[in-house]
Amino acid sequence: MRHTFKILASAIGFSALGIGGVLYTLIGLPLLWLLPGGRDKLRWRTRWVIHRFFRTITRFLAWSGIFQLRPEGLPARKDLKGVLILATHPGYLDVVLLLALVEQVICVVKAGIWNNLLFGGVVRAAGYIPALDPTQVLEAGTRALERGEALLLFPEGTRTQPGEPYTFQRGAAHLALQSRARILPILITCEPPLLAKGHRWYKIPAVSCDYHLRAVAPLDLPWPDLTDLPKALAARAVTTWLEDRFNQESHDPGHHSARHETVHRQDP
Amino acid sequence: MIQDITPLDMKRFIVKTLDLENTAPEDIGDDQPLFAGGLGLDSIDAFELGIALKKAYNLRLEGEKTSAFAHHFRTPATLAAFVETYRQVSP
Repeated sequence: MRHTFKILASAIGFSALGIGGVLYTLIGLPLLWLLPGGRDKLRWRTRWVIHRFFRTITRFLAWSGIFQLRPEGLPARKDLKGVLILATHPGYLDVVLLLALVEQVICVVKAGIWNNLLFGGVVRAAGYIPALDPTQVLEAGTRALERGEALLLFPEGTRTQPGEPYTFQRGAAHLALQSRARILPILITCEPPLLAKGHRWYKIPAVSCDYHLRAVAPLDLPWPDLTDLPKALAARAVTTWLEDRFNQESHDPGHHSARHETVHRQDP
Repeated sequence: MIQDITPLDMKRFIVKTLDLENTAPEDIGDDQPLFAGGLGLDSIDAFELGIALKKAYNLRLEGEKTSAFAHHFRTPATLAAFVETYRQVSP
């Protein structure tokens, strides 16, 4: 009974995302255009609307019992100016939850969403960055970070299997190298997995999922080791270095899979 | 006298730049696609290759859109022809 209710709640949540996108494109954006302030204000307001909207959806889904949200160590927004946020990506809802928790964050969006009828207008108005061509993403990302934006990127590039070691694409490394921005790692885990890659919207675990978003100490790249390397090799070195940092963090007692090991470990 | 750029030069350059540990330059065909269905490079590889080529061969690409070069990166042979056309020989 409870489970059926959660699947219904999931249906409502997903529909709300789509309907929200359309309503905002058709009604919200034209209205906001009429307000004074121009392009910058429109961006700010659009991000604010996304933040409030995602927060409402998050609260609704948490209320329905699908998951409990457990943020840990997330800095205040004023401490995220010009920070490159690198988050792990176990489930579909990660971006919804992060944007619900932190306001005025921008992200890199897939070409499919950029050109999507439901969401395209919204992500453009919010001043997000389309993942179309690597050169453009790096330039736009670097400019945004220099302007003081907080930029969210999932370095794995896509949702990945929970429990496996983290492996990253090289895009995050290139952006870190080019922008020289401070990096905030956020380790997102969910136990049991919720809306992981390949899961459909109705595949909701019967138990309430523990959704953990844990920000750890900011990183500075090992610059002295990188200065003499050509760009392509430096990006490889940084990618491996970042993977190591994240995989080390996943052995922290607060991390889900690490906790599993603890639970299942036999006494000698 | 400056040597023409051969597909083999490009293959060596690709293997070195992209640090392809398990590929020997000689194993790549002159007309083998570098991306999908061939060597399997991705868009980040193309980006890195573009930067490295531009630097190494001093390519004259100002004001040209990177995306317009995609077809030159199809095979080692097309890449060699591209670099041959756009390189600037320092005096």
